[in-house]
Amino acid sequence: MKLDAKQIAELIQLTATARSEDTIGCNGCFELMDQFAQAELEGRDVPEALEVVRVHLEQCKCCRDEYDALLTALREIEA
Amino acid sequence: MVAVPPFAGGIVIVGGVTRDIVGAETFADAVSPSPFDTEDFLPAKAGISEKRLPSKNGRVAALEFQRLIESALTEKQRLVVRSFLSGYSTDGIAEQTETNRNAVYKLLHDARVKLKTGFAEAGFSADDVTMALA
Repeated sequence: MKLDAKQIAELIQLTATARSEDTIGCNGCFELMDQFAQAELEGRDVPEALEVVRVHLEQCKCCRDEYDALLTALREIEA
Repeated sequence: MVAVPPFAGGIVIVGGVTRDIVGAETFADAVSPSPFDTEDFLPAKAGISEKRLPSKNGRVAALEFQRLIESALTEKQRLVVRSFLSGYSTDGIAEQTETNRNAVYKLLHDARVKLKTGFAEAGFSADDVTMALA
């Protein structure tokens, strides 16, 4: 299977946006996600220890989708 | 629209679009009949005319990409990258390889960082490569 031009462009993008600061992976993100979500919802500054969650969410679409769903659910609960 | 490879059974949700995938015997066959074919990176083979490359640097950059993929990535990392570019999500790849999202993500992440580091060490910026292959 050949890579088409669009796939090559995507790979370049994946390479350029890679961040070695993403150290927690999906499991770590899952464990910290609710704390991160609460801080975001309350408009608080996110503690530095939780900033890794933000980095991971930028890199990982599967976790980001779950995070968006969590935020939506939490907002509905609070409403 | 990224072409999604055929696969026996299963539905992969990619970017919100549901695709029915039928065909190939195994996930590995679907995404890579052989280990990652890095010759695909040579612009001519990917359908990009070399005449369009603005500079010798562009061709060198493309070859560096190929070299890194062949030498810096492990076979598992290549497979995950290949699958991801073919349209599978990390969850989709995890299901097909009977692993988990965390394991797949780690392979993808490590591959991306290796490529990025390798390019920096070779003296290329992302812009160099993007412009070269645009």
